[in-house]
Amino acid sequence: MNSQVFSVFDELLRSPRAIAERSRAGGDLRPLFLASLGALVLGAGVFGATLATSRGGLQLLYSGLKLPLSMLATMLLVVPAFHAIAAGLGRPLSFSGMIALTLAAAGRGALVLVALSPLVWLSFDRGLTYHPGVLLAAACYALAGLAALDLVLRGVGFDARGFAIVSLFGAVLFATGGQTAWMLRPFLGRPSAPSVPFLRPRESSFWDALQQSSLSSLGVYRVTRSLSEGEGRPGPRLEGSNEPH
Amino acid sequence: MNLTDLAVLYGVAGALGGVVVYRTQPRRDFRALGAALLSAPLWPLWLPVLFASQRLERDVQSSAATETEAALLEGHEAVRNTPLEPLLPRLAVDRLLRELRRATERYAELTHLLSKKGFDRGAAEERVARLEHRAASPRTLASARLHLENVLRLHSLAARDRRALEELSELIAALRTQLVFARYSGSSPGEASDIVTEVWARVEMLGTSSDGPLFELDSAPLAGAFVLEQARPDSG
Repeated sequence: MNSQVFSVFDELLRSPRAIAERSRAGGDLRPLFLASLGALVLGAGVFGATLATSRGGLQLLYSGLKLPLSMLATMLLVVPAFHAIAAGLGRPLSFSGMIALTLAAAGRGALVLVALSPLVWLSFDRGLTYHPGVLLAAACYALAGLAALDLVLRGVGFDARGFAIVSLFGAVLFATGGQTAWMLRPFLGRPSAPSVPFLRPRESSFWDALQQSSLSSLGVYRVTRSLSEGEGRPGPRLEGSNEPH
Repeated sequence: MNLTDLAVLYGVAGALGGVVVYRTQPRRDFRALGAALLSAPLWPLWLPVLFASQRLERDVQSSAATETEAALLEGHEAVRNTPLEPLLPRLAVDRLLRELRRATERYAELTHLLSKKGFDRGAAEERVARLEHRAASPRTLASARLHLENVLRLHSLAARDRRALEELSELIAALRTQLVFARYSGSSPGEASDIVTEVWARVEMLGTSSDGPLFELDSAPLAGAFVLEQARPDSG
Protein backbone atom coordinates (compact mmCIF):
# COMPACT_ATOMS: atom_id res chain seq x y z
CA MET A 1 0.00 0.00 0.00
CA ASN A 2 2.81 2.43 0.92
CA SER A 3 4.59 2.07 -2.42
CA GLN A 4 1.24 2.51 -4.18
CA VAL A 5 0.62 5.73 -2.25
CA PHE A 6 4.04 7.11 -3.26
CA SER A 7 3.50 6.17 -6.89
CA VAL A 8 0.09 7.92 -6.88
CA PHE A 9 1.70 10.96 -5.25
CA ASP A 10 4.14 11.05 -8.16
CA GLU A 11 1.23 10.73 -10.61
CA LEU A 12 -0.56 13.59 -8.88
CA LEU A 13 2.38 15.83 -9.70
CA ARG A 14 3.15 14.60 -13.20
CA SER A 15 0.06 13.09 -14.73
CA PRO A 16 -3.33 14.60 -13.84
CA ARG A 17 -4.84 12.76 -16.80
CA ALA A 18 -3.92 9.41 -15.22
CA ILE A 19 -5.39 10.55 -11.91
CA ALA A 20 -8.64 11.54 -13.62
CA GLU A 21 -8.76 8.15 -15.38
CA ARG A 22 -8.12 6.36 -12.12
CA SER A 23 -10.99 8.21 -10.41
CA ARG A 24 -13.34 7.48 -13.30
CA ALA A 25 -12.41 3.80 -13.47
CA GLY A 26 -13.09 3.21 -9.77
CA GLY A 27 -11.21 0.21 -8.42
CA ASP A 28 -9.17 0.48 -5.26
CA LEU A 29 -9.11 4.21 -4.62
CA ARG A 30 -7.51 4.03 -1.19
CA PRO A 31 -3.94 4.82 -2.38
CA LEU A 32 -5.26 7.81 -4.38
CA PHE A 33 -7.23 9.01 -1.36
CA LEU A 34 -4.25 8.73 0.99
CA ALA A 35 -1.79 10.34 -1.44
CA SER A 36 -4.19 13.23 -2.10
CA LEU A 37 -4.82 13.68 1.61
CA GLY A 38 -1.07 13.76 2.25
CA ALA A 39 -0.52 16.31 -0.53
CA LEU A 40 -3.36 18.45 0.80
CA VAL A 41 -2.24 18.45 4.42
CA LEU A 42 1.44 19.03 3.62
CA GLY A 43 0.87 21.55 0.83
CA ALA A 44 -1.73 23.64 2.61
CA GLY A 45 0.24 23.42 5.84
CA VAL A 46 3.38 24.80 4.19
CA PHE A 47 1.47 27.59 2.45
CA GLY A 48 -0.42 28.47 5.63
CA ALA A 49 2.82 28.76 7.57
CA THR A 50 4.32 30.86 4.75
CA LEU A 51 1.40 33.29 4.93
CA ALA A 52 1.99 33.64 8.63
CA THR A 53 5.60 34.73 8.17
CA SER A 54 4.23 38.28 7.92
CA ARG A 55 3.31 38.00 11.59
CA GLY A 56 5.56 35.19 12.82
CA GLY A 57 5.51 33.47 16.19
CA LEU A 58 2.48 31.40 17.14
CA GLN A 59 0.68 32.45 13.97
CA LEU A 60 3.01 30.13 11.98
CA LEU A 61 1.69 27.12 13.84
CA TYR A 62 -1.94 28.25 13.77
CA SER A 63 -1.97 28.98 10.05
CA GLY A 64 -0.07 25.77 9.26
CA LEU A 65 -2.86 23.86 11.01
CA LYS A 66 -5.85 25.92 9.98
CA LEU A 67 -5.32 26.10 6.25
CA PRO A 68 -5.36 22.28 5.76
CA LEU A 69 -8.31 22.17 8.15
CA SER A 70 -10.25 24.71 6.12
CA MET A 71 -9.52 22.86 2.86
CA LEU A 72 -10.61 19.54 4.36
CA ALA A 73 -13.77 21.08 5.79
CA THR A 74 -14.52 22.52 2.35
CA MET A 75 -14.06 19.09 0.77
CA LEU A 76 -16.47 17.58 3.28
CA LEU A 77 -19.08 20.16 2.33
CA VAL A 78 -18.70 20.32 -1.45
CA VAL A 79 -18.34 16.66 -2.49
CA PRO A 80 -22.07 15.83 -2.16
CA ALA A 81 -22.90 18.99 -4.12
CA PHE A 82 -20.43 18.02 -6.82
CA HIS A 83 -21.93 14.54 -7.01
CA ALA A 84 -25.43 15.98 -7.32
CA ILE A 85 -24.39 18.53 -9.99
CA ALA A 86 -22.61 15.90 -12.10
CA ALA A 87 -25.47 13.41 -11.79
CA GLY A 88 -28.04 16.14 -12.50
CA LEU A 89 -26.23 17.14 -15.67
CA GLY A 90 -26.02 13.56 -16.89
CA ARG A 91 -22.42 12.76 -16.05
CA PRO A 92 -22.73 10.50 -13.01
CA LEU A 93 -19.58 9.11 -11.43
CA SER A 94 -19.55 6.71 -8.51
CA PHE A 95 -19.61 8.56 -5.19
CA SER A 96 -16.25 7.10 -4.18
CA GLY A 97 -14.80 8.10 -7.57
CA MET A 98 -16.15 11.60 -7.07
CA ILE A 99 -14.57 11.82 -3.61
CA ALA A 100 -11.23 10.61 -4.97
CA LEU A 101 -11.38 13.08 -7.87
CA THR A 102 -12.27 16.03 -5.64
CA LEU A 103 -9.65 15.20 -3.05
CA ALA A 104 -7.01 14.65 -5.75
CA ALA A 105 -7.90 18.04 -7.21
CA ALA A 106 -7.56 19.63 -3.78
CA GLY A 107 -4.23 17.86 -3.31
CA ARG A 108 -3.03 19.20 -6.65
CA GLY A 109 -4.19 22.68 -5.70
CA ALA A 110 -2.25 22.38 -2.44
CA LEU A 111 0.87 21.42 -4.38
CA VAL A 112 0.43 24.56 -6.51
CA LEU A 113 0.23 26.54 -3.26
CA VAL A 114 3.54 25.00 -2.20
CA ALA A 115 5.05 26.08 -5.52
CA LEU A 116 3.84 29.64 -4.87
CA SER A 117 5.09 29.72 -1.29
CA PRO A 118 8.59 31.09 -2.10
CA LEU A 119 7.02 34.00 -3.98
CA VAL A 120 4.74 34.81 -1.05
CA TRP A 121 7.58 34.48 1.40
CA LEU A 122 9.78 36.79 -0.68
CA SER A 123 6.97 39.34 -0.98
CA PHE A 124 6.45 39.51 2.77
CA ASP A 125 10.18 39.62 3.32
CA ARG A 126 10.40 42.61 0.96
CA GLY A 127 7.84 44.45 3.05
CA LEU A 128 4.45 43.59 1.57
CA THR A 129 1.80 44.96 3.93
CA TYR A 130 -1.31 43.27 5.30
CA HIS A 131 -4.00 44.10 2.71
CA PRO A 132 -1.92 43.59 -0.43
CA GLY A 133 -0.78 40.39 1.30
CA VAL A 134 -4.40 39.27 1.61
CA LEU A 135 -4.92 39.97 -2.07
CA LEU A 136 -1.73 38.09 -2.99
CA ALA A 137 -2.97 35.11 -0.96
CA ALA A 138 -6.35 35.32 -2.73
CA ALA A 139 -4.55 35.33 -6.11
CA CYS A 140 -2.55 32.25 -5.06
CA TYR A 141 -5.78 30.49 -4.03
CA ALA A 142 -7.29 31.40 -7.38
CA LEU A 143 -4.33 29.90 -9.26
CA ALA A 144 -4.42 26.76 -7.12
CA GLY A 145 -8.17 26.56 -7.64
CA LEU A 146 -7.72 26.72 -11.42
CA ALA A 147 -5.17 23.86 -11.28
CA ALA A 148 -7.61 21.87 -9.17
CA LEU A 149 -10.58 22.57 -11.46
CA ASP A 150 -8.47 21.52 -14.46
CA LEU A 151 -8.12 18.07 -12.89
CA VAL A 152 -11.84 17.98 -12.11
CA LEU A 153 -12.60 18.91 -15.73
CA ARG A 154 -10.47 16.01 -16.97
CA GLY A 155 -12.41 13.77 -14.63
CA VAL A 156 -15.90 14.78 -15.74
CA GLY A 157 -15.03 15.12 -19.42
CA PHE A 158 -13.48 17.85 -21.54
CA ASP A 159 -16.64 19.03 -23.35
CA ALA A 160 -19.45 21.57 -23.00
CA ARG A 161 -21.25 19.50 -20.38
CA GLY A 162 -18.02 19.04 -18.48
CA PHE A 163 -17.47 22.82 -18.53
CA ALA A 164 -20.99 23.39 -17.25
CA ILE A 165 -20.47 20.92 -14.38
CA VAL A 166 -17.11 22.40 -13.46
CA SER A 167 -18.46 25.97 -13.63
CA LEU A 168 -21.31 25.16 -11.26
CA PHE A 169 -19.02 23.20 -9.00
CA GLY A 170 -16.49 26.05 -9.08
CA ALA A 171 -19.19 28.46 -7.92
CA VAL A 172 -20.11 26.17 -5.00
CA LEU A 173 -16.45 25.61 -4.16
CA PHE A 174 -15.61 29.33 -4.25
CA ALA A 175 -18.45 30.30 -1.93
CA THR A 176 -18.04 27.36 0.46
CA GLY A 177 -14.25 27.38 0.55
CA GLY A 178 -14.12 31.14 0.96
CA GLN A 179 -16.60 31.20 3.82
CA THR A 180 -14.95 28.20 5.56
CA ALA A 181 -11.56 29.88 5.39
CA TRP A 182 -13.16 33.12 6.56
CA MET A 183 -14.52 31.39 9.65
CA LEU A 184 -11.09 29.97 10.46
CA ARG A 185 -9.15 33.23 9.98
CA PRO A 186 -6.74 34.80 10.73
CA PHE A 187 -4.14 33.21 8.49
CA LEU A 188 -1.89 36.25 8.11
CA GLY A 189 -2.57 37.95 11.40
CA ARG A 190 -3.21 41.68 11.62
CA PRO A 191 0.04 43.51 12.34
CA SER A 192 -1.79 45.81 14.77
CA ALA A 193 -3.37 43.03 16.84
CA PRO A 194 -1.71 42.80 20.25
CA SER A 195 -1.97 39.00 20.43
CA VAL A 196 -2.39 36.11 18.03
CA PRO A 197 -5.83 34.51 18.37
CA PHE A 198 -6.46 30.98 17.08
CA LEU A 199 -9.84 32.12 15.71
CA ARG A 200 -11.20 35.61 15.29
CA PRO A 201 -14.70 36.47 16.52
CA ARG A 202 -17.30 35.97 13.83
CA GLU A 203 -18.09 39.12 11.85
CA SER A 204 -19.44 39.89 8.36
CA SER A 205 -18.60 37.36 5.62
CA PHE A 206 -15.97 36.26 3.14
CA TRP A 207 -17.46 38.37 0.36
CA ASP A 208 -17.51 41.53 2.51
CA ALA A 209 -13.89 40.93 3.44
CA LEU A 210 -12.81 40.52 -0.18
CA GLN A 211 -14.48 43.81 -1.12
CA GLN A 212 -13.04 45.57 1.89
CA SER A 213 -9.50 44.32 1.27
CA SER A 214 -9.70 45.38 -2.38
CA LEU A 215 -10.76 48.88 -1.35
CA SER A 216 -8.20 49.07 1.44
CA SER A 217 -5.37 48.10 -0.88
CA LEU A 218 -6.41 51.07 -3.04
CA GLY A 219 -6.28 53.34 0.00
CA VAL A 220 -10.05 53.62 0.47
CA TYR A 221 -11.06 52.98 4.05
CA ARG A 222 -14.66 52.60 5.16
CA VAL A 223 -15.63 53.73 8.64
CA THR A 224 -17.97 51.26 10.33
CA ARG A 225 -19.21 50.87 13.83
CA SER A 226 -18.26 47.51 15.19
CA LEU A 227 -17.38 45.87 18.41
CA SER A 228 -13.73 45.33 18.99
CA GLU A 229 -14.27 42.10 20.86
CA GLY A 230 -10.62 41.39 21.44
CA GLU A 231 -10.37 44.44 23.64
CA GLY A 232 -14.01 44.44 24.73
CA ARG A 233 -14.71 48.07 23.86
CA PRO A 234 -17.27 49.30 21.36
CA GLY A 235 -16.56 52.22 19.12
CA PRO A 236 -15.98 53.40 15.62
CA ARG A 237 -12.94 52.14 13.82
CA LEU A 238 -11.34 52.38 10.44
CA GLU A 239 -11.93 49.01 8.82
CA GLY A 240 -8.99 47.82 6.87
CA SER A 241 -6.51 50.29 8.28
CA ASN A 242 -3.23 49.21 9.74
CA GLU A 243 -3.64 51.62 12.59
CA PRO A 244 -3.94 50.14 16.06
CA HIS A 245 -7.57 49.44 16.96
CA MET B 1 -28.95 23.40 16.35
CA ASN B 2 -25.78 25.47 16.44
CA LEU B 3 -22.28 24.77 15.15
CA THR B 4 -21.20 23.10 18.40
CA ASP B 5 -24.15 20.66 18.36
CA LEU B 6 -23.32 19.84 14.77
CA ALA B 7 -19.67 19.25 15.65
CA VAL B 8 -20.67 16.94 18.51
CA LEU B 9 -22.97 14.92 16.23
CA TYR B 10 -20.25 14.77 13.60
CA GLY B 11 -17.76 13.55 16.19
CA VAL B 12 -20.13 10.87 17.51
CA ALA B 13 -20.80 9.64 13.95
CA GLY B 14 -17.05 9.61 13.31
CA ALA B 15 -16.33 7.62 16.48
CA LEU B 16 -19.04 5.07 15.60
CA GLY B 17 -17.70 4.88 12.05
CA GLY B 18 -14.20 4.26 13.39
CA VAL B 19 -15.42 1.40 15.58
CA VAL B 20 -17.34 -0.17 12.66
CA VAL B 21 -14.30 0.13 10.39
CA TYR B 22 -11.99 -1.45 12.95
CA ARG B 23 -14.36 -4.33 13.61
CA THR B 24 -15.00 -5.07 9.93
CA GLN B 25 -11.35 -5.17 8.88
CA PRO B 26 -10.15 -8.65 7.88
CA ARG B 27 -7.07 -8.22 10.10
CA ARG B 28 -6.90 -6.16 13.25
CA ASP B 29 -3.42 -4.72 12.82
CA PHE B 30 -1.94 -1.22 12.61
CA ARG B 31 -3.47 -0.77 9.16
CA ALA B 32 -6.94 -1.47 10.53
CA LEU B 33 -6.22 0.99 13.31
CA GLY B 34 -5.10 3.60 10.77
CA ALA B 35 -8.28 3.10 8.74
CA ALA B 36 -10.38 3.47 11.89
CA LEU B 37 -8.53 6.60 13.03
CA LEU B 38 -8.94 8.18 9.61
CA SER B 39 -12.66 7.42 9.75
CA ALA B 40 -13.19 9.47 12.89
CA PRO B 41 -12.48 12.94 11.43
CA LEU B 42 -13.06 12.24 7.74
CA TRP B 43 -15.89 9.70 7.71
CA PRO B 44 -17.98 11.37 4.97
CA LEU B 45 -15.03 11.12 2.58
CA TRP B 46 -13.11 8.08 3.78
CA LEU B 47 -15.91 5.59 4.47
CA PRO B 48 -17.38 5.53 0.92
CA VAL B 49 -13.88 5.05 -0.55
CA LEU B 50 -12.93 2.39 2.00
CA PHE B 51 -16.15 0.40 1.70
CA ALA B 52 -16.21 0.61 -2.11
CA SER B 53 -12.62 -0.67 -2.27
CA GLN B 54 -13.36 -3.49 0.18
CA ARG B 55 -16.48 -4.50 -1.74
CA LEU B 56 -14.44 -4.57 -4.93
CA GLU B 57 -11.81 -6.77 -3.27
CA ARG B 58 -14.51 -9.21 -2.15
CA ASP B 59 -16.04 -9.26 -5.63
CA VAL B 60 -12.66 -9.96 -7.20
CA GLN B 61 -12.08 -12.83 -4.78
CA SER B 62 -15.44 -14.42 -5.40
CA SER B 63 -15.35 -13.89 -9.17
CA ALA B 64 -11.89 -15.49 -9.33
CA ALA B 65 -13.46 -18.86 -8.45
CA THR B 66 -16.33 -18.25 -10.86
CA GLU B 67 -13.89 -17.28 -13.61
CA THR B 68 -11.94 -20.49 -13.12
CA GLU B 69 -15.14 -22.52 -13.29
CA ALA B 70 -16.20 -20.65 -16.42
CA ALA B 71 -12.79 -21.32 -18.01
CA LEU B 72 -13.12 -25.01 -17.26
CA LEU B 73 -16.60 -25.19 -18.78
CA GLU B 74 -15.50 -23.20 -21.83
CA GLY B 75 -12.56 -25.58 -22.27
CA HIS B 76 -14.96 -28.51 -22.22
CA GLU B 77 -17.32 -26.77 -24.64
CA ALA B 78 -14.40 -26.23 -27.02
CA VAL B 79 -13.72 -29.97 -27.29
CA ARG B 80 -17.29 -31.31 -26.96
CA ASN B 81 -18.30 -33.57 -29.86
CA THR B 82 -14.77 -33.46 -31.27
CA PRO B 83 -12.01 -36.08 -31.25
CA LEU B 84 -10.43 -34.05 -28.45
CA GLU B 85 -13.31 -34.67 -26.03
CA PRO B 86 -11.56 -37.54 -24.17
CA LEU B 87 -9.02 -34.95 -23.04
CA LEU B 88 -11.59 -33.18 -20.93
CA PRO B 89 -14.81 -35.20 -20.68
CA ARG B 90 -17.86 -33.91 -18.82
CA LEU B 91 -17.36 -36.34 -15.94
CA ALA B 92 -13.84 -35.04 -15.38
CA VAL B 93 -15.07 -31.46 -15.55
CA ASP B 94 -17.72 -32.16 -12.91
CA ARG B 95 -15.20 -33.72 -10.58
CA LEU B 96 -12.75 -30.87 -11.12
CA LEU B 97 -15.50 -28.36 -10.37
CA ARG B 98 -16.42 -30.20 -7.18
CA GLU B 99 -12.83 -30.24 -5.97
CA LEU B 100 -12.33 -26.63 -6.91
CA ARG B 101 -15.44 -25.50 -5.02
CA ARG B 102 -14.48 -27.54 -2.00
CA ALA B 103 -10.98 -26.06 -1.93
CA THR B 104 -12.29 -22.51 -2.45
CA GLU B 105 -14.84 -22.88 0.35
CA ARG B 106 -12.20 -24.31 2.64
CA TYR B 107 -9.86 -21.41 1.88
CA ALA B 108 -12.66 -18.90 2.53
CA GLU B 109 -13.45 -20.59 5.87
CA LEU B 110 -9.80 -20.60 6.82
CA THR B 111 -9.26 -16.92 6.01
CA HIS B 112 -12.43 -16.01 7.92
CA LEU B 113 -11.21 -17.99 10.90
CA LEU B 114 -7.77 -16.39 10.78
CA SER B 115 -9.30 -12.92 10.80
CA LYS B 116 -10.63 -13.59 14.29
CA LYS B 117 -8.88 -12.28 17.35
CA GLY B 118 -8.00 -15.69 18.79
CA PHE B 119 -5.97 -16.52 15.68
CA ASP B 120 -3.93 -13.33 15.53
CA ARG B 121 -0.29 -14.20 15.01
CA GLY B 122 1.11 -11.02 16.55
CA ALA B 123 -1.02 -11.42 19.67
CA ALA B 124 0.05 -15.05 20.09
CA GLU B 125 3.74 -14.12 19.74
CA GLU B 126 3.30 -11.26 22.15
CA ARG B 127 1.63 -13.55 24.67
CA VAL B 128 4.49 -16.06 24.57
CA ALA B 129 7.02 -13.25 24.98
CA ARG B 130 5.06 -11.82 27.89
CA LEU B 131 4.85 -15.20 29.63
CA GLU B 132 8.57 -15.80 29.09
CA HIS B 133 9.34 -12.38 30.47
CA ARG B 134 7.40 -12.92 33.67
CA ALA B 135 8.75 -16.49 34.04
CA ALA B 136 5.39 -18.22 33.87
CA SER B 137 5.08 -21.92 34.74
CA PRO B 138 6.39 -24.37 32.11
CA ARG B 139 2.89 -25.74 31.61
CA THR B 140 1.44 -22.31 30.84
CA LEU B 141 4.35 -21.52 28.56
CA ALA B 142 3.98 -24.85 26.72
CA SER B 143 0.29 -24.15 26.10
CA ALA B 144 1.01 -20.66 24.82
CA ARG B 145 3.76 -21.96 22.54
CA LEU B 146 1.51 -24.67 21.20
CA HIS B 147 -1.17 -22.06 20.48
CA LEU B 148 1.39 -19.93 18.64
CA GLU B 149 2.64 -22.91 16.67
CA ASN B 150 -0.90 -23.83 15.62
CA VAL B 151 -1.66 -20.27 14.58
CA LEU B 152 1.52 -20.20 12.48
CA ARG B 153 0.60 -23.51 10.88
CA LEU B 154 -2.89 -22.31 10.04
CA HIS B 155 -1.49 -19.16 8.45
CA SER B 156 0.97 -21.18 6.38
CA LEU B 157 -1.83 -23.54 5.40
CA ALA B 158 -3.95 -20.62 4.20
CA ALA B 159 -1.02 -19.22 2.22
CA ARG B 160 -0.41 -22.63 0.63
CA ASP B 161 -4.07 -23.00 -0.31
CA ARG B 162 -4.13 -19.53 -1.83
CA ARG B 163 -1.04 -20.27 -3.93
CA ALA B 164 -2.44 -23.62 -5.04
CA LEU B 165 -5.76 -22.05 -6.04
CA GLU B 166 -4.03 -19.27 -7.96
CA GLU B 167 -1.80 -21.73 -9.80
CA LEU B 168 -4.75 -23.93 -10.61
CA SER B 169 -6.75 -20.98 -11.85
CA GLU B 170 -3.95 -19.92 -14.21
CA LEU B 171 -3.45 -23.48 -15.38
CA ILE B 172 -7.14 -23.92 -16.19
CA ALA B 173 -7.14 -20.62 -18.11
CA ALA B 174 -4.17 -21.89 -20.12
CA LEU B 175 -5.95 -25.23 -20.69
CA ARG B 176 -8.99 -23.43 -22.08
CA THR B 177 -6.99 -21.41 -24.61
CA GLN B 178 -4.91 -24.47 -25.53
CA LEU B 179 -8.03 -26.56 -26.20
CA VAL B 180 -9.63 -23.76 -28.23
CA PHE B 181 -6.40 -23.38 -30.19
CA ALA B 182 -6.11 -27.15 -30.77
CA ARG B 183 -9.70 -27.29 -31.98
CA TYR B 184 -9.46 -24.41 -34.46
CA SER B 185 -5.91 -25.02 -35.68
CA GLY B 186 -6.29 -28.78 -35.87
CA SER B 187 -2.91 -29.10 -34.17
CA SER B 188 -1.81 -31.95 -31.95
CA PRO B 189 -3.44 -31.96 -28.52
CA GLY B 190 -0.11 -32.96 -26.95
CA GLU B 191 0.41 -29.74 -25.04
CA ALA B 192 -3.22 -29.64 -23.89
CA SER B 193 -2.83 -33.19 -22.69
CA ASP B 194 0.19 -32.14 -20.61
CA ILE B 195 -1.82 -29.33 -19.07
CA VAL B 196 -4.69 -31.67 -18.25
CA THR B 197 -2.24 -33.97 -16.49
CA GLU B 198 -0.83 -30.99 -14.58
CA VAL B 199 -4.35 -29.84 -13.61
CA TRP B 200 -5.15 -33.27 -12.18
CA ALA B 201 -1.88 -33.28 -10.26
CA ARG B 202 -2.72 -29.89 -8.76
CA VAL B 203 -6.24 -30.99 -7.85
CA GLU B 204 -4.80 -34.06 -6.14
CA MET B 205 -2.47 -31.75 -4.21
CA LEU B 206 -5.40 -29.57 -3.20
CA GLY B 207 -7.17 -32.70 -1.95
CA THR B 208 -4.08 -33.67 0.02
CA SER B 209 -3.81 -30.31 1.71
CA SER B 210 -7.54 -30.41 2.45
CA ASP B 211 -7.48 -33.81 4.05
CA GLY B 212 -3.99 -33.74 5.52
CA PRO B 213 -3.38 -33.78 9.26
CA LEU B 214 -3.03 -30.47 11.02
CA PHE B 215 -0.26 -31.75 13.26
CA GLU B 216 2.80 -32.78 11.37
CA LEU B 217 5.44 -35.18 12.63
CA ASP B 218 7.70 -32.60 14.22
CA SER B 219 4.92 -31.21 16.38
CA ALA B 220 3.35 -34.50 17.41
CA PRO B 221 5.26 -34.79 20.73
CA LEU B 222 4.34 -31.23 21.64
CA ALA B 223 0.69 -31.87 20.81
CA GLY B 224 0.78 -35.07 22.85
CA ALA B 225 2.31 -33.23 25.79
CA PHE B 226 -0.40 -30.62 25.57
CA VAL B 227 -3.16 -33.21 25.57
CA LEU B 228 -1.59 -35.01 28.53
CA GLU B 229 -1.24 -31.74 30.43
CA GLN B 230 -4.87 -30.90 29.82
CA ALA B 231 -5.98 -34.37 30.89
CA ARG B 232 -4.17 -34.26 34.25
CA PRO B 233 -6.57 -33.86 37.17
CA ASP B 234 -4.56 -30.93 38.62
CA SER B 235 -4.32 -29.08 35.35
CA GLY B 236 -7.22 -26.86 36.27
